[in-house]
Amino acid sequence: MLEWVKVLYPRTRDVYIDDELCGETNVPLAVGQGTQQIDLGAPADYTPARRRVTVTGTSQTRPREVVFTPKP
Amino acid sequence: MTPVAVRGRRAATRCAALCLAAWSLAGCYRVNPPLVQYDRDRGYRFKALGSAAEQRGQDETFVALTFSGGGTRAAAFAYGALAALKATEISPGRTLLDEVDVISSVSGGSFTAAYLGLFGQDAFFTQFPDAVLYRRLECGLIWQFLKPWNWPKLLSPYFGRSDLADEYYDDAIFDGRTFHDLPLHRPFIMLNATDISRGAQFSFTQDSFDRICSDLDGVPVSRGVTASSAFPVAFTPLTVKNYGAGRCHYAPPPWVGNAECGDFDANPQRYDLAKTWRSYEDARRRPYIHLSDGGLADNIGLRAVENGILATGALGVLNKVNLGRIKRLAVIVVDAKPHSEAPADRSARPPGIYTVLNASATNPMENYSSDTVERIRILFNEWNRAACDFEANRAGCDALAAQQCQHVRRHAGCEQTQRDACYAKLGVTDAPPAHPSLYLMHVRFEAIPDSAAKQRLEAVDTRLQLPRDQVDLLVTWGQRLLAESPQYQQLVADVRGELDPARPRCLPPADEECDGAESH
Repeated sequence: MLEWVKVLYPRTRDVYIDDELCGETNVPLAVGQGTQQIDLGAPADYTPARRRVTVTGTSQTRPREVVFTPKP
Repeated sequence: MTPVAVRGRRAATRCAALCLAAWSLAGCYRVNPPLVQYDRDRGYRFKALGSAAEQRGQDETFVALTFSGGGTRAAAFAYGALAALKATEISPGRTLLDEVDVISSVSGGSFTAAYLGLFGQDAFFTQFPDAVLYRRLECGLIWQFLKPWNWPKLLSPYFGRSDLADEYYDDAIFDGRTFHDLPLHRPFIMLNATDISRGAQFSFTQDSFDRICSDLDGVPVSRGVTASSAFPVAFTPLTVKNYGAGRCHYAPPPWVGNAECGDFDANPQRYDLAKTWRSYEDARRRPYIHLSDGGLADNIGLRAVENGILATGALGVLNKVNLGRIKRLAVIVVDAKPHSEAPADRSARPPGIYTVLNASATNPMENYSSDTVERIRILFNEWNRAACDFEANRAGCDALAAQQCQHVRRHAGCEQTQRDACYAKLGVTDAPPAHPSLYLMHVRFEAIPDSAAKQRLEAVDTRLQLPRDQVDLLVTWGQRLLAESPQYQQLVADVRGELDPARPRCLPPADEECDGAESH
Protein backbone atom coordinates (compact mmCIF):
# COMPACT_ATOMS: atom_id res chain seq x y z
CA MET A 1 0.00 0.00 0.00
CA LEU A 2 0.94 3.61 -0.38
CA GLU A 3 2.57 5.48 2.47
CA TRP A 4 3.76 9.04 2.97
CA VAL A 5 7.03 10.50 4.18
CA LYS A 6 7.88 14.14 4.81
CA VAL A 7 11.56 14.92 5.10
CA LEU A 8 12.06 18.00 7.20
CA TYR A 9 15.01 20.30 6.60
CA PRO A 10 15.34 24.08 7.05
CA ARG A 11 15.49 24.66 3.30
CA THR A 12 14.43 22.94 0.12
CA ARG A 13 16.79 20.28 -1.17
CA ASP A 14 16.66 16.93 -2.90
CA VAL A 15 15.60 13.78 -1.10
CA TYR A 16 17.01 10.35 -1.99
CA ILE A 17 15.27 7.17 -1.04
CA ASP A 18 17.28 3.97 -1.48
CA ASP A 19 19.89 5.97 -3.42
CA GLU A 20 17.39 7.22 -6.00
CA LEU A 21 16.24 10.81 -6.36
CA CYS A 22 12.71 10.83 -5.00
CA GLY A 23 11.61 14.43 -4.47
CA GLU A 24 12.20 17.43 -2.25
CA THR A 25 12.21 18.19 1.44
CA ASN A 26 9.21 19.55 3.33
CA VAL A 27 6.48 18.09 1.12
CA PRO A 28 4.78 14.72 1.55
CA LEU A 29 6.35 12.07 -0.70
CA ALA A 30 4.59 8.90 -1.77
CA VAL A 31 6.52 5.72 -0.89
CA GLY A 32 5.77 2.03 -0.70
CA GLN A 33 4.90 0.52 2.66
CA GLY A 34 7.92 -0.71 4.58
CA THR A 35 11.46 0.23 5.41
CA GLN A 36 13.33 2.88 3.43
CA GLN A 37 16.76 4.49 3.58
CA ILE A 38 16.60 8.24 3.29
CA ASP A 39 19.30 10.83 2.73
CA LEU A 40 19.70 14.26 1.17
CA GLY A 41 22.52 13.50 -1.25
CA ALA A 42 25.57 15.69 -1.79
CA PRO A 43 26.89 17.86 -0.24
CA ALA A 44 26.92 15.89 2.98
CA ASP A 45 26.53 19.00 5.14
CA TYR A 46 23.66 17.64 7.19
CA THR A 47 23.15 15.18 9.96
CA PRO A 48 22.50 12.28 10.34
CA ALA A 49 24.08 11.08 7.10
CA ARG A 50 21.28 8.64 6.43
CA ARG A 51 18.17 7.39 8.18
CA ARG A 52 16.48 4.05 7.87
CA VAL A 53 12.80 4.33 8.74
CA THR A 54 9.88 1.93 8.64
CA VAL A 55 6.88 3.65 7.13
CA THR A 56 3.44 2.29 7.86
CA GLY A 57 0.04 3.63 8.87
CA THR A 58 0.62 7.09 7.44
CA SER A 59 -1.57 9.36 5.36
CA GLN A 60 -0.92 12.28 3.09
CA THR A 61 -1.91 14.67 5.87
CA ARG A 62 -0.17 12.62 8.58
CA PRO A 63 3.08 11.54 6.93
CA ARG A 64 6.03 9.96 8.72
CA GLU A 65 8.30 12.90 9.46
CA VAL A 66 12.04 12.38 9.07
CA VAL A 67 14.21 15.18 10.38
CA PHE A 68 17.63 16.21 9.11
CA THR A 69 19.52 19.22 10.40
CA PRO A 70 22.45 21.18 8.95
CA LYS A 71 25.83 20.27 10.40
CA PRO A 72 26.93 22.92 12.89
CA MET B 1 39.75 -64.23 -19.13
CA THR B 2 41.74 -64.23 -22.35
CA PRO B 3 43.53 -61.04 -23.54
CA VAL B 4 41.14 -60.92 -26.49
CA ALA B 5 38.13 -61.00 -24.19
CA VAL B 6 39.66 -58.28 -21.97
CA ARG B 7 40.31 -56.09 -25.01
CA GLY B 8 36.74 -56.69 -26.17
CA ARG B 9 35.31 -55.72 -22.78
CA ARG B 10 37.44 -52.55 -22.68
CA ALA B 11 36.30 -51.58 -26.17
CA ALA B 12 32.70 -52.11 -25.18
CA THR B 13 33.18 -49.99 -22.06
CA ARG B 14 34.81 -47.21 -24.13
CA CYS B 15 32.02 -47.40 -26.62
CA ALA B 16 29.40 -47.21 -23.90
CA ALA B 17 31.17 -44.23 -22.33
CA LEU B 18 31.36 -42.50 -25.69
CA CYS B 19 27.70 -43.16 -26.34
CA LEU B 20 26.81 -41.87 -22.89
CA ALA B 21 28.86 -38.73 -23.44
CA ALA B 22 27.32 -38.16 -26.87
CA TRP B 23 23.85 -38.76 -25.46
CA SER B 24 24.46 -36.36 -22.60
CA LEU B 25 25.87 -33.72 -24.94
CA ALA B 26 23.03 -34.12 -27.39
CA GLY B 27 20.47 -33.87 -24.64
CA CYS B 28 21.49 -30.89 -22.56
CA TYR B 29 19.40 -27.79 -21.96
CA ARG B 30 20.66 -24.49 -23.32
CA VAL B 31 22.70 -23.10 -20.46
CA ASN B 32 22.35 -19.43 -19.60
CA PRO B 33 25.78 -17.74 -19.69
CA PRO B 34 27.55 -16.38 -16.59
CA LEU B 35 27.84 -12.68 -15.83
CA VAL B 36 31.45 -11.56 -15.56
CA GLN B 37 30.91 -8.39 -13.56
CA TYR B 38 27.71 -7.11 -11.97
CA ASP B 39 26.80 -3.60 -13.12
CA ARG B 40 23.46 -2.28 -11.91
CA ASP B 41 23.12 0.06 -14.90
CA ARG B 42 23.86 -2.47 -17.63
CA GLY B 43 21.73 -5.09 -19.31
CA TYR B 44 18.04 -5.44 -19.99
CA ARG B 45 16.47 -3.65 -17.03
CA PHE B 46 13.99 -0.82 -16.78
CA LYS B 47 16.47 1.67 -15.40
CA ALA B 48 18.75 1.18 -18.39
CA LEU B 49 15.92 2.45 -20.59
CA GLY B 50 15.12 5.45 -18.41
CA SER B 51 17.13 8.43 -19.49
CA ALA B 52 16.27 8.44 -23.20
CA ALA B 53 12.56 8.17 -22.39
CA GLU B 54 12.80 11.01 -19.89
CA GLN B 55 14.45 13.20 -22.49
CA ARG B 56 11.54 12.59 -24.83
CA GLY B 57 9.06 13.46 -22.08
CA GLN B 58 7.74 9.92 -22.27
CA ASP B 59 7.22 9.74 -18.54
CA GLU B 60 4.35 12.23 -18.49
CA THR B 61 1.92 9.43 -19.29
CA PHE B 62 3.10 6.18 -17.75
CA VAL B 63 1.30 3.17 -19.16
CA ALA B 64 1.77 -0.35 -17.80
CA LEU B 65 0.19 -3.20 -19.74
CA THR B 66 -0.23 -6.72 -18.45
CA PHE B 67 -1.08 -9.77 -20.52
CA SER B 68 -2.60 -12.84 -18.92
CA GLY B 69 -2.02 -16.47 -19.64
CA GLY B 70 -4.36 -18.64 -21.69
CA GLY B 71 -2.41 -19.93 -24.71
CA THR B 72 -3.36 -18.53 -28.10
CA ARG B 73 -6.59 -17.18 -26.61
CA ALA B 74 -4.53 -14.82 -24.43
CA ALA B 75 -2.04 -14.00 -27.21
CA ALA B 76 -4.84 -12.98 -29.59
CA PHE B 77 -6.77 -11.01 -26.98
CA ALA B 78 -3.58 -9.10 -26.10
CA TYR B 79 -2.93 -8.47 -29.79
CA GLY B 80 -6.41 -6.89 -30.03
CA ALA B 81 -5.70 -4.60 -27.10
CA LEU B 82 -2.43 -3.50 -28.71
CA ALA B 83 -4.33 -2.81 -31.93
CA ALA B 84 -6.66 -0.51 -29.98
CA LEU B 85 -3.67 1.40 -28.59
CA LYS B 86 -2.15 1.61 -32.07
CA ALA B 87 -5.42 2.99 -33.48
CA THR B 88 -5.59 5.74 -30.85
CA GLU B 89 -3.80 8.79 -32.15
CA ILE B 90 -2.90 11.23 -29.39
CA SER B 91 -0.96 13.75 -31.47
CA PRO B 92 0.08 13.87 -35.12
CA GLY B 93 2.05 10.72 -35.90
CA ARG B 94 1.91 9.47 -32.32
CA THR B 95 -0.40 6.83 -30.88
CA LEU B 96 -1.11 5.66 -27.37
CA LEU B 97 0.96 2.55 -28.09
CA ASP B 98 4.01 4.83 -28.26
CA GLU B 99 3.27 5.79 -24.65
CA VAL B 100 3.40 2.24 -23.29
CA ASP B 101 6.28 1.97 -20.83
CA VAL B 102 6.07 -1.57 -19.51
CA ILE B 103 4.51 -4.80 -20.65
CA SER B 104 4.40 -7.57 -18.08
CA SER B 105 3.19 -10.91 -19.36
CA VAL B 106 2.72 -14.53 -18.45
CA SER B 107 2.25 -17.67 -20.49
CA GLY B 108 0.35 -17.15 -23.77
CA GLY B 109 0.52 -13.38 -23.36
CA SER B 110 4.32 -13.62 -23.39
CA PHE B 111 4.35 -14.58 -27.09
CA THR B 112 2.65 -11.26 -27.86
CA ALA B 113 4.79 -9.18 -25.53
CA ALA B 114 8.09 -10.70 -26.69
CA TYR B 115 7.28 -10.39 -30.38
CA LEU B 116 6.32 -6.74 -30.07
CA GLY B 117 9.40 -5.98 -28.00
CA LEU B 118 11.78 -7.76 -30.35
CA PHE B 119 10.49 -6.81 -33.75
CA GLY B 120 8.81 -3.43 -33.16
CA GLN B 121 5.35 -2.19 -34.05
CA ASP B 122 5.48 -2.40 -37.86
CA ALA B 123 6.64 -5.99 -38.02
CA PHE B 124 4.40 -6.91 -35.12
CA PHE B 125 1.17 -5.81 -36.77
CA THR B 126 2.03 -7.32 -40.13
CA GLN B 127 3.73 -10.57 -39.12
CA PHE B 128 2.56 -11.64 -35.68
CA PRO B 129 -0.83 -13.07 -36.72
CA ASP B 130 0.76 -15.50 -39.19
CA ALA B 131 3.85 -16.11 -37.09
CA VAL B 132 1.91 -17.05 -33.95
CA LEU B 133 -1.84 -16.51 -33.84
CA TYR B 134 -2.83 -18.49 -36.92
CA ARG B 135 0.08 -20.88 -36.64
CA ARG B 136 -0.60 -24.46 -35.62
CA LEU B 137 1.93 -24.38 -32.82
CA GLU B 138 0.73 -27.60 -31.24
CA CYS B 139 1.18 -29.47 -34.51
CA GLY B 140 4.61 -27.92 -34.84
CA LEU B 141 5.53 -29.08 -31.35
CA ILE B 142 4.23 -32.59 -31.93
CA TRP B 143 6.20 -32.73 -35.16
CA GLN B 144 9.34 -31.90 -33.19
CA PHE B 145 8.64 -34.80 -30.87
CA LEU B 146 8.16 -37.14 -33.79
CA LYS B 147 11.50 -36.31 -35.41
CA PRO B 148 13.78 -39.29 -34.68
CA TRP B 149 16.90 -37.12 -34.30
CA ASN B 150 15.21 -35.41 -31.33
CA TRP B 151 14.61 -38.68 -29.48
CA PRO B 152 18.10 -39.05 -27.97
CA LYS B 153 17.81 -35.55 -26.55
CA LEU B 154 14.39 -36.28 -25.09
CA LEU B 155 15.74 -39.41 -23.40
CA SER B 156 18.31 -37.32 -21.59
CA PRO B 157 17.43 -36.34 -18.01
CA TYR B 158 18.82 -32.84 -18.74
CA PHE B 159 16.55 -32.06 -21.64
CA GLY B 160 12.79 -31.80 -21.24
CA ARG B 161 9.82 -31.20 -23.46
CA SER B 162 10.11 -27.49 -22.72
CA ASP B 163 13.67 -27.47 -24.05
CA LEU B 164 12.43 -28.89 -27.31
CA ALA B 165 9.62 -26.33 -27.39
CA ASP B 166 12.20 -23.63 -26.72
CA GLU B 167 14.27 -24.74 -29.74
CA TYR B 168 11.15 -24.79 -31.87
CA TYR B 169 9.95 -21.31 -30.84
CA ASP B 170 13.47 -19.98 -31.25
CA ASP B 171 13.68 -21.25 -34.80
CA ALA B 172 10.11 -20.74 -35.96
CA ILE B 173 9.11 -17.50 -34.20
CA PHE B 174 11.95 -15.60 -32.61
CA ASP B 175 14.62 -16.02 -35.25
CA GLY B 176 17.36 -16.97 -32.79
CA ARG B 177 17.25 -13.56 -31.12
CA THR B 178 18.52 -13.09 -27.59
CA PHE B 179 17.68 -10.52 -24.92
CA HIS B 180 20.63 -8.54 -26.22
CA ASP B 181 18.53 -7.94 -29.34
CA LEU B 182 15.68 -6.38 -27.38
CA PRO B 183 15.97 -2.66 -28.06
CA LEU B 184 16.87 -0.50 -25.07
CA HIS B 185 13.79 1.61 -25.34
CA ARG B 186 10.26 1.33 -24.09
CA PRO B 187 8.13 -0.66 -23.79
CA PHE B 188 10.15 -2.67 -21.33
CA ILE B 189 9.16 -6.31 -21.67
CA MET B 190 8.87 -8.43 -18.54
CA LEU B 191 8.36 -12.10 -19.35
CA ASN B 192 7.35 -13.77 -16.10
CA ALA B 193 7.82 -17.40 -15.15
CA THR B 194 7.42 -19.14 -11.79
CA ASP B 195 10.27 -20.51 -9.70
CA ILE B 196 8.55 -23.74 -8.71
CA SER B 197 10.61 -24.35 -5.56
CA ARG B 198 9.64 -20.99 -4.04
CA GLY B 199 6.33 -20.50 -5.84
CA ALA B 200 7.65 -17.05 -6.66
CA GLN B 201 7.56 -14.99 -9.80
CA PHE B 202 10.80 -15.05 -11.78
CA SER B 203 11.06 -12.33 -14.43
CA PHE B 204 13.40 -12.49 -17.40
CA THR B 205 15.08 -9.18 -16.63
CA GLN B 206 18.71 -8.48 -15.80
CA ASP B 207 17.63 -7.47 -12.28
CA SER B 208 16.48 -11.07 -11.76
CA PHE B 209 19.47 -12.62 -13.50
CA ASP B 210 21.91 -10.52 -11.46
CA ARG B 211 20.96 -12.63 -8.44
CA ILE B 212 22.29 -15.75 -10.13
CA CYS B 213 25.20 -13.92 -11.78
CA SER B 214 23.99 -14.76 -15.25
CA ASP B 215 24.08 -12.54 -18.31
CA LEU B 216 20.56 -12.25 -19.71
CA ASP B 217 21.94 -10.74 -22.91
CA GLY B 218 23.13 -14.20 -23.93
CA VAL B 219 19.78 -15.90 -23.27
CA PRO B 220 17.44 -16.53 -26.21
CA VAL B 221 14.15 -14.64 -25.93
CA SER B 222 12.41 -17.90 -26.79
CA ARG B 223 13.65 -19.30 -23.49
CA GLY B 224 11.86 -16.59 -21.55
CA VAL B 225 8.67 -17.19 -23.50
CA THR B 226 8.97 -20.96 -23.07
CA ALA B 227 9.54 -20.74 -19.33
CA SER B 228 6.69 -18.28 -19.00
CA SER B 229 4.34 -20.65 -20.85
CA ALA B 230 5.58 -24.01 -19.53
CA PHE B 231 2.23 -25.17 -18.23
CA PRO B 232 2.82 -28.00 -15.74
CA VAL B 233 2.55 -31.59 -16.89
CA ALA B 234 2.17 -30.65 -20.57
CA PHE B 235 5.60 -29.02 -20.39
CA THR B 236 8.53 -29.81 -18.13
CA PRO B 237 10.04 -27.02 -16.03
CA LEU B 238 12.91 -25.16 -17.67
CA THR B 239 16.28 -25.18 -15.94
CA VAL B 240 18.36 -22.07 -15.30
CA LYS B 241 21.89 -22.37 -13.98
CA ASN B 242 22.68 -20.38 -10.85
CA TYR B 243 26.31 -19.23 -10.77
CA GLY B 244 26.01 -17.70 -7.29
CA ALA B 245 26.04 -14.04 -6.36
CA GLY B 246 29.70 -14.05 -5.32
CA ARG B 247 30.97 -14.87 -8.77
CA CYS B 248 30.14 -11.47 -10.29
CA HIS B 249 30.42 -9.38 -7.08
CA TYR B 250 26.70 -8.86 -6.95
CA ALA B 251 25.23 -6.46 -4.40
CA PRO B 252 21.47 -6.68 -3.90
CA PRO B 253 19.44 -3.48 -4.29
CA PRO B 254 18.88 -1.50 -1.07
CA TRP B 255 15.22 -2.49 -0.74
CA VAL B 256 16.26 -6.10 0.02
CA GLY B 257 18.28 -5.22 3.11
CA ASN B 258 15.68 -2.68 4.20
CA ALA B 259 12.87 -5.21 3.94
CA GLU B 260 14.86 -7.84 5.86
CA CYS B 261 15.67 -5.26 8.50
CA GLY B 262 12.25 -3.84 9.22
CA ASP B 263 9.42 -5.37 7.23
CA PHE B 264 8.79 -8.61 9.08
CA ASP B 265 5.76 -7.00 10.75
CA ALA B 266 5.47 -3.76 8.79
CA ASN B 267 5.10 -5.38 5.37
CA PRO B 268 5.39 -9.20 5.54
CA GLN B 269 4.82 -9.56 1.82
CA ARG B 270 7.82 -7.37 1.03
CA TYR B 271 9.81 -9.23 3.67
CA ASP B 272 9.01 -12.55 1.96
CA LEU B 273 9.93 -11.06 -1.38
CA ALA B 274 13.32 -10.07 0.04
CA LYS B 275 13.85 -13.55 1.47
CA THR B 276 13.08 -15.11 -1.90
CA TRP B 277 15.42 -12.63 -3.56
CA ARG B 278 18.20 -13.71 -1.20
CA SER B 279 17.53 -17.41 -1.78
CA TYR B 280 19.25 -17.25 -5.18
CA GLU B 281 22.50 -15.85 -3.87
CA ASP B 282 23.92 -19.12 -2.57
CA ALA B 283 24.61 -21.33 -5.57
CA ARG B 284 25.69 -24.20 -3.34
CA ARG B 285 22.17 -24.54 -1.98
CA ARG B 286 20.38 -23.76 -5.24
CA PRO B 287 22.75 -24.44 -8.15
CA TYR B 288 19.80 -24.75 -10.50
CA ILE B 289 16.48 -22.92 -10.68
CA HIS B 290 13.50 -24.65 -12.25
CA LEU B 291 10.94 -22.47 -13.96
CA SER B 292 7.37 -23.22 -14.93
CA ASP B 293 4.44 -21.27 -16.29
CA GLY B 294 4.27 -17.69 -15.00
CA GLY B 295 0.59 -18.16 -14.36
CA LEU B 296 1.33 -20.34 -11.33
CA ALA B 297 2.54 -17.28 -9.43
CA ASP B 298 0.29 -14.68 -11.05
CA ASN B 299 -1.86 -15.39 -14.08
CA ILE B 300 -2.29 -11.79 -15.21
CA GLY B 301 1.26 -10.46 -14.84
CA LEU B 302 0.11 -7.67 -12.58
CA ARG B 303 2.14 -8.58 -9.49
CA ALA B 304 5.37 -7.77 -11.31
CA VAL B 305 4.03 -4.28 -12.01
CA GLU B 306 2.67 -3.84 -8.49
CA ASN B 307 5.99 -4.92 -6.98
CA GLY B 308 7.90 -2.71 -9.40
CA ILE B 309 5.85 0.27 -8.25
CA LEU B 310 5.49 -0.36 -4.51
CA ALA B 311 7.78 -3.06 -3.10
CA THR B 312 11.05 -2.88 -5.04
CA GLY B 313 10.77 0.46 -6.81
CA ALA B 314 12.37 -1.13 -9.89
CA LEU B 315 10.04 0.85 -12.19
CA GLY B 316 10.78 4.12 -10.38
CA VAL B 317 7.15 5.19 -10.67
CA LEU B 318 6.66 6.74 -7.23
CA ASN B 319 9.89 8.72 -7.53
CA LYS B 320 8.76 10.13 -10.85
CA VAL B 321 5.35 10.95 -9.42
CA ASN B 322 6.94 12.78 -6.48
CA LEU B 323 9.18 14.69 -8.87
CA GLY B 324 6.14 15.72 -10.90
CA ARG B 325 7.31 13.86 -14.02
CA ILE B 326 4.41 11.44 -14.19
CA LYS B 327 1.10 13.24 -14.69
CA ARG B 328 -0.96 10.19 -15.62
CA LEU B 329 -0.55 6.61 -14.49
CA ALA B 330 -2.50 3.98 -16.41
CA VAL B 331 -2.59 0.25 -15.75
CA ILE B 332 -4.24 -1.88 -18.42
CA VAL B 333 -4.88 -5.52 -17.52
CA VAL B 334 -5.71 -7.69 -20.53
CA ASP B 335 -7.21 -10.79 -18.99
CA ALA B 336 -8.29 -13.69 -21.21
CA LYS B 337 -9.71 -15.67 -18.32
CA PRO B 338 -12.21 -18.23 -19.60
CA HIS B 339 -15.41 -19.19 -17.91
CA SER B 340 -16.28 -22.79 -18.32
CA GLU B 341 -19.64 -24.26 -17.62
CA ALA B 342 -19.73 -26.66 -14.69
CA PRO B 343 -21.15 -29.89 -16.07
CA ALA B 344 -20.12 -31.69 -12.87
CA ASP B 345 -22.68 -29.65 -10.95
CA ARG B 346 -25.46 -31.20 -12.95
CA SER B 347 -24.89 -34.53 -11.28
CA ALA B 348 -24.85 -35.76 -7.69
CA ARG B 349 -21.81 -37.86 -8.54
CA PRO B 350 -18.52 -36.43 -7.24
CA PRO B 351 -16.41 -34.94 -10.08
CA GLY B 352 -13.70 -37.06 -11.65
CA ILE B 353 -9.97 -36.78 -11.03
CA TYR B 354 -9.36 -34.54 -14.07
CA THR B 355 -11.99 -32.02 -12.98
CA VAL B 356 -10.63 -31.94 -9.44
CA LEU B 357 -7.01 -31.62 -10.56
CA ASN B 358 -7.92 -28.88 -13.02
CA ALA B 359 -9.86 -27.00 -10.35
CA SER B 360 -6.97 -27.37 -7.89
CA ALA B 361 -4.51 -26.02 -10.42
CA THR B 362 -6.51 -23.11 -11.79
CA ASN B 363 -8.90 -21.85 -9.09
CA PRO B 364 -6.27 -20.50 -6.66
CA MET B 365 -4.50 -18.89 -9.62
CA GLU B 366 -7.67 -17.12 -10.77
CA ASN B 367 -8.61 -15.95 -7.28
CA TYR B 368 -5.10 -14.59 -6.74
CA SER B 369 -5.31 -12.74 -10.06
CA SER B 370 -8.62 -11.14 -9.10
CA ASP B 371 -7.13 -10.11 -5.77
CA THR B 372 -4.23 -8.40 -7.49
CA VAL B 373 -6.54 -6.30 -9.66
CA GLU B 374 -8.49 -5.37 -6.55
CA ARG B 375 -5.30 -4.34 -4.77
CA ILE B 376 -4.47 -1.93 -7.57
CA ARG B 377 -8.04 -0.63 -7.61
CA ILE B 378 -7.91 -0.02 -3.84
CA LEU B 379 -4.50 1.62 -4.16
CA PHE B 380 -5.77 4.02 -6.81
CA ASN B 381 -8.98 4.77 -4.88
CA GLU B 382 -7.06 5.49 -1.69
CA TRP B 383 -4.55 7.63 -3.53
CA ASN B 384 -7.36 9.68 -5.09
CA ARG B 385 -9.14 9.98 -1.78
CA ALA B 386 -5.93 11.13 -0.07
CA ALA B 387 -5.49 13.87 -2.67
CA CYS B 388 -9.11 14.93 -2.35
CA ASP B 389 -8.93 14.97 1.45
CA PHE B 390 -5.82 17.12 1.19
CA GLU B 391 -7.61 19.58 -1.09
CA ALA B 392 -10.74 19.58 1.08
CA ASN B 393 -8.72 20.23 4.24
CA ARG B 394 -6.91 23.09 2.59
CA ALA B 395 -10.11 24.63 1.25
CA GLY B 396 -11.71 24.20 4.68
CA CYS B 397 -8.80 26.02 6.36
CA ASP B 398 -9.00 28.86 3.82
CA ALA B 399 -12.74 29.26 4.36
CA LEU B 400 -12.43 29.09 8.15
CA ALA B 401 -9.64 31.68 8.20
CA ALA B 402 -11.68 34.02 6.01
CA GLN B 403 -14.73 33.60 8.23
CA GLN B 404 -12.85 34.12 11.49
CA CYS B 405 -11.10 37.24 10.25
CA GLN B 406 -13.88 38.93 8.30
CA HIS B 407 -14.48 41.60 10.98
CA VAL B 408 -10.85 42.00 12.00
CA ARG B 409 -9.22 45.29 11.03
CA ARG B 410 -5.85 43.77 9.92
CA HIS B 411 -7.67 41.29 7.80
CA ALA B 412 -4.81 39.88 5.66
CA GLY B 413 -2.45 39.24 8.56
CA CYS B 414 -5.21 37.60 10.58
CA GLU B 415 -6.15 35.30 7.74
CA GLN B 416 -2.57 34.24 7.18
CA THR B 417 -2.09 33.43 10.86
CA GLN B 418 -5.34 31.51 11.12
CA ARG B 419 -4.68 29.65 7.88
CA ASP B 420 -1.14 28.64 8.92
CA ALA B 421 -2.43 27.35 12.26
CA CYS B 422 -5.16 25.36 10.54
CA TYR B 423 -2.77 23.99 7.89
CA ALA B 424 -0.37 22.83 10.60
CA LYS B 425 -3.21 21.21 12.53
CA LEU B 426 -4.58 19.34 9.54
CA GLY B 427 -1.22 18.53 7.96
CA VAL B 428 -1.64 20.42 4.71
CA THR B 429 0.74 22.73 2.88
CA ASP B 430 0.45 25.53 0.33
CA ALA B 431 1.66 23.25 -2.45
CA PRO B 432 -0.20 19.93 -2.61
CA PRO B 433 1.85 16.75 -3.14
CA ALA B 434 2.16 15.69 -6.76
CA HIS B 435 -0.80 13.57 -7.73
CA PRO B 436 -1.17 11.83 -11.07
CA SER B 437 -4.46 11.04 -12.75
CA LEU B 438 -4.98 7.32 -12.22
CA TYR B 439 -6.58 4.91 -14.67
CA LEU B 440 -7.18 1.20 -14.22
CA MET B 441 -8.63 -0.82 -17.09
CA HIS B 442 -9.45 -4.50 -16.69
CA VAL B 443 -10.16 -5.84 -20.17
CA ARG B 444 -11.97 -9.17 -19.88
CA PHE B 445 -14.65 -11.23 -21.55
CA GLU B 446 -17.08 -10.46 -18.74
CA ALA B 447 -17.48 -6.95 -20.16
CA ILE B 448 -18.69 -8.11 -23.59
CA PRO B 449 -22.26 -6.84 -23.99
CA ASP B 450 -23.15 -9.34 -26.72
CA SER B 451 -23.98 -12.46 -24.72
CA ALA B 452 -23.52 -14.84 -27.66
CA ALA B 453 -20.02 -13.49 -28.38
CA LYS B 454 -19.23 -13.53 -24.68
CA GLN B 455 -20.23 -17.16 -24.30
CA ARG B 456 -18.26 -18.07 -27.39
CA LEU B 457 -15.08 -16.42 -26.18
CA GLU B 458 -15.40 -17.70 -22.62
CA ALA B 459 -15.56 -21.21 -24.00
CA VAL B 460 -12.38 -20.95 -26.07
CA ASP B 461 -9.93 -23.62 -24.94
CA THR B 462 -6.48 -22.96 -23.54
CA ARG B 463 -4.45 -24.27 -26.45
CA LEU B 464 -1.56 -23.22 -28.64
CA GLN B 465 -3.60 -23.32 -31.81
CA LEU B 466 -7.10 -22.13 -32.47
CA PRO B 467 -9.39 -21.94 -35.47
CA ARG B 468 -8.91 -18.74 -37.46
CA ASP B 469 -12.41 -17.43 -36.76
CA GLN B 470 -11.85 -17.74 -33.01
CA VAL B 471 -8.57 -15.86 -33.27
CA ASP B 472 -10.25 -13.10 -35.27
CA LEU B 473 -13.07 -12.83 -32.75
CA LEU B 474 -10.60 -12.59 -29.87
CA VAL B 475 -8.64 -9.86 -31.66
CA THR B 476 -11.81 -7.94 -32.47
CA TRP B 477 -13.08 -8.01 -28.91
CA GLY B 478 -9.68 -7.29 -27.38
CA GLN B 479 -9.55 -4.15 -29.47
CA ARG B 480 -13.17 -3.18 -28.93
CA LEU B 481 -13.33 -3.76 -25.19
CA LEU B 482 -10.29 -1.59 -24.53
CA ALA B 483 -11.33 1.17 -26.95
CA GLU B 484 -14.86 1.31 -25.51
CA SER B 485 -13.82 1.21 -21.86
CA PRO B 486 -14.88 4.49 -20.15
CA GLN B 487 -11.55 4.69 -18.32
CA TYR B 488 -9.70 4.33 -21.59
CA GLN B 489 -11.75 7.06 -23.24
CA GLN B 490 -11.08 9.35 -20.31
CA LEU B 491 -7.36 8.55 -20.47
CA VAL B 492 -7.31 9.36 -24.18
CA ALA B 493 -9.14 12.64 -23.63
CA ASP B 494 -6.70 13.49 -20.84
CA VAL B 495 -3.62 12.72 -22.95
CA ARG B 496 -5.03 14.73 -25.85
CA GLY B 497 -5.71 17.65 -23.51
CA GLU B 498 -9.44 17.46 -24.13
CA LEU B 499 -10.55 17.25 -20.50
CA ASP B 500 -12.23 20.37 -19.17
CA PRO B 501 -9.60 22.01 -16.93
CA ALA B 502 -12.39 23.44 -14.76
CA ARG B 503 -13.76 19.94 -14.12
CA PRO B 504 -13.53 19.28 -10.38
CA ARG B 505 -11.24 16.38 -9.59
CA CYS B 506 -13.00 15.45 -6.41
CA LEU B 507 -16.68 14.74 -6.49
CA PRO B 508 -18.88 13.02 -3.96
CA PRO B 509 -19.68 9.45 -5.03
CA ALA B 510 -22.54 9.43 -7.50
CA ASP B 511 -25.77 7.66 -6.66
CA GLU B 512 -25.79 5.03 -9.33
CA GLU B 513 -28.54 2.54 -9.76
CA CYS B 514 -27.73 -0.82 -11.13
CA ASP B 515 -29.77 -1.80 -14.18
CA GLY B 516 -32.12 -4.57 -13.31
CA ALA B 517 -31.88 -3.99 -9.55
CA GLU B 518 -35.22 -3.40 -7.98
CA SER B 519 -35.59 -0.91 -5.17
CA HIS B 520 -38.26 -1.34 -2.61
